Amino acid sequence: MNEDSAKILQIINDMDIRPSDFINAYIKNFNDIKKTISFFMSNSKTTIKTGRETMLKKTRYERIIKGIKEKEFEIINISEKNYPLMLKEIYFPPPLLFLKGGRAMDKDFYIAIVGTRKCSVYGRDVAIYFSHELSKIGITVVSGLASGIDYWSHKASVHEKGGTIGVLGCGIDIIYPPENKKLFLEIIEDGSIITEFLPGVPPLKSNFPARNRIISGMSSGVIIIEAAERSGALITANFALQQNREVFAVPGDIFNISSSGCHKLIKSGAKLAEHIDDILEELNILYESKLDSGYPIKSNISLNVSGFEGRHDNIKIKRLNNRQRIIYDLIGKKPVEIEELMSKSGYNINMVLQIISELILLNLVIENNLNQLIRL
Amino acid sequence: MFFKLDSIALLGIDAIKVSVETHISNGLPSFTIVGLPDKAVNEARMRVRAAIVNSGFKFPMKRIIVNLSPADIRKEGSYYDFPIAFALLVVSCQVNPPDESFLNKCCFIGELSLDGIINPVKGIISMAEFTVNAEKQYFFLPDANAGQAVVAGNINIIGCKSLEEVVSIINDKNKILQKSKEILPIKASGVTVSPGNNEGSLDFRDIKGQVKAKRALEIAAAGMHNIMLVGPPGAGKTMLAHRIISIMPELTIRESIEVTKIYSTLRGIREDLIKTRPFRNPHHTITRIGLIGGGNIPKPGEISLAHRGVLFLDEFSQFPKNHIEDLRQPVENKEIIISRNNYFYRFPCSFMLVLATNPCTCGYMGDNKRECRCTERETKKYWEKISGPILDRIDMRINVRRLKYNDFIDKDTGQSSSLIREKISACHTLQHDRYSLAGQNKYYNSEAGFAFINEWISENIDLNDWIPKVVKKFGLSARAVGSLIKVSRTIADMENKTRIETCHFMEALNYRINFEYE
Repeated sequence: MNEDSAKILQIINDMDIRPSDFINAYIKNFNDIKKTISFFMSNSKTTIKTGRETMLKKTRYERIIKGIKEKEFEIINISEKNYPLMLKEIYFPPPLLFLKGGRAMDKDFYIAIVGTRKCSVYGRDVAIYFSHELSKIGITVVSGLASGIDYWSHKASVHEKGGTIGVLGCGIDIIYPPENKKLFLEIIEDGSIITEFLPGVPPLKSNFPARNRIISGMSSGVIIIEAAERSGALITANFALQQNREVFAVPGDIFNISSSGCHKLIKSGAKLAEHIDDILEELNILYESKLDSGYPIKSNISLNVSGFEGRHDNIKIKRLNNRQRIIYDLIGKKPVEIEELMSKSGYNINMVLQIISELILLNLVIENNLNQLIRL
Repeated sequence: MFFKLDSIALLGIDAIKVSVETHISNGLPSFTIVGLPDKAVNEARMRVRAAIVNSGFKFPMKRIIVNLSPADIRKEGSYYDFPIAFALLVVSCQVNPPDESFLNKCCFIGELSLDGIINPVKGIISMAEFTVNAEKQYFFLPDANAGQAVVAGNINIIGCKSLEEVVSIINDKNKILQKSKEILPIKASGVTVSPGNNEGSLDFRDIKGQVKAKRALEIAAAGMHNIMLVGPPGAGKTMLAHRIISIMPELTIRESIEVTKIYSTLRGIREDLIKTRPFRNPHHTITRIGLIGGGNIPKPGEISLAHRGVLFLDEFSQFPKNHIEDLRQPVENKEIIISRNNYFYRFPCSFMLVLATNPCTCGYMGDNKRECRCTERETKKYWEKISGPILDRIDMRINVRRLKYNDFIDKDTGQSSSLIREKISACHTLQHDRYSLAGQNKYYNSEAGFAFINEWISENIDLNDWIPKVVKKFGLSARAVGSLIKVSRTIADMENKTRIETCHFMEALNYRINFEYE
């Protein structure tokens, strides 16, 4: 935490200045953080309010300082370098972000993946596919750390090159939903968790739309997977449109309620995403247009559309023995049943099972609870 | 006048010595039995009196006191009719044994009918084993029970048809010798140990698809490993489980003795030995005592009735949480000890646990045809009930999916049960030999101790590399690693390999890891 952040924290926490007022002042001061801070500091009326409220604020402030001292979390402010670039551009960016982990905050490209909490097998697979493929080529996946699509998006990208960022709708010290605790720890280790809410803020219903604006705001595009007609994911899509971000929607089963939201988006002009190319294509255009306007390029990730697939696993695949290779080649992106593997490879059941175990240990495939296999 | 002879009382499936002491004195004729007799023992007075008279002997018209010692243990059942009647004949000098100490080397048990015929009683194997251990030489018992008693071994079994016959045998030394040389046949029992399971008509061939589940059940049956089947309704979990018994070989003679011992204390198995493997399938409304065993006078529960066989708990999630937790210790220790104020009742329960359950409350989680309507919390609660400790004891976990339309026309449904049974039978023999060679009272790989497991691991150096990797990736407990090795050993046994190859280990791993509910 630098000095500025400490002062902003003081202004917001102690002086009852709303974050939106702070941002307004920040813009009026031509994005000069020092001036903004001194503006508030000099204008502050040190009115002594009721004892209890002051005490509450004081303890909260002390808690935050303690948390930072013990390296539990960090604070970054809007003027800092690792504050997500695109987030600064939105209508009302949060002046402060609380941060845990810290990896993946310096990347160029963020893509948000959002969708229903109760996802189907199909939705899960789609989330895993997009998230994994995107993160593998260095694009960071942003999502909301809820269950369902959010969960799988994080899960599939957390250990990859691009990494993942989770945006919370509560204080940084609260794990919500609690069943995601393991995922939280994984993300803290290999990615980042951010929130604009002060520590101790519970996951209130009203916090989540605000969180959604950050998810879409820091990303170049938003992929919606499985959203019903009135889903939170559609709020994110709306924010994305307001913030001039790309909106992608993945089509689903027309008889399934949980696809109707996505289909509605497609009808009204969202880009249909059925392959990672659809996203990269759109991104390439964005990328180049920014290049033209002299936008600084930080890293040298090549967004070469062809040839990215499985680059990461190529070495592992080359090392497979003949039998493993035969089985691996039979397993694709679409789930395959063990029976099919048996009949196509001509191996008996024990051989197939044993090869599957080996491939699972190599992190090349996974088996779902229908005895079906999918490439990771 | 006083006379004492030895008889036996049953406590659970264990037997203890009971002395039948008789005392005859002058006075008003009366007949009293003391020493904590229950109703059936007290009624013996009537049967004894009638049987003695109807066999052509004289009932002593004196004051008779019979004491069953030790006097503080409850005596139950009709076991003592014959010993009491015989003691009365001795004490009233109507029998002439070859020498005085002869009767000290004998043990008597049996129920009398009014005409002096000796009827069979329950629990005879435990008693016969007791007489061997107590170094008796002759065991006089009902003729019908003799077929069961011979399995106990080194003792002269003398089956008696009637009170009259007994007296004539004892009076004649040659008859004793002749009688004790008779070789008695062992008969197979027709008693059903698998209620509700229509044995014989079930075959593995009935099952279409489910290749992995079938293979897993084969391995589980070969090594008596615990197995869990998880799948949506209509996937075929119950159908699979009911066919396990069709691929399991008959009980060996040693197992048969163990199983008959348990059944004969409960059911009327008095004359023969159980040969078929038990398959118990209790409903989830069963009481704790019904499942585990116990009661005022402790009786074996379903877990003991499934000894050396299969305990199949269908819709496992519907069982009360308490029942599920109760299973922990018996599954691990292979016996249950029920303690009462003056005695421990020990019932063996080395069974193969087969569980079947849905993946969530609505049942359709992960199904590709129907949407699951459960919230994450509901599912979590559902799996919390089937607690970690009991899941950890399940060696193999199999997902069973619903058949697809093209599975129904599948003609190749694999091997028939009888073919598989032959394979498994060979595998069982291999395991019996292994453990008897090591001098252990164990039969199957699932019972192997850590000494064996460590030895097996050390036989294959590759395993030493794989195990830490696997433990790290899947977060396995020490027990889980042990069970992984045991299942690997069974797979290796099925292929008749002397050591566990890495491929066996890999296959075993597949039955453990693809289970996302833990």
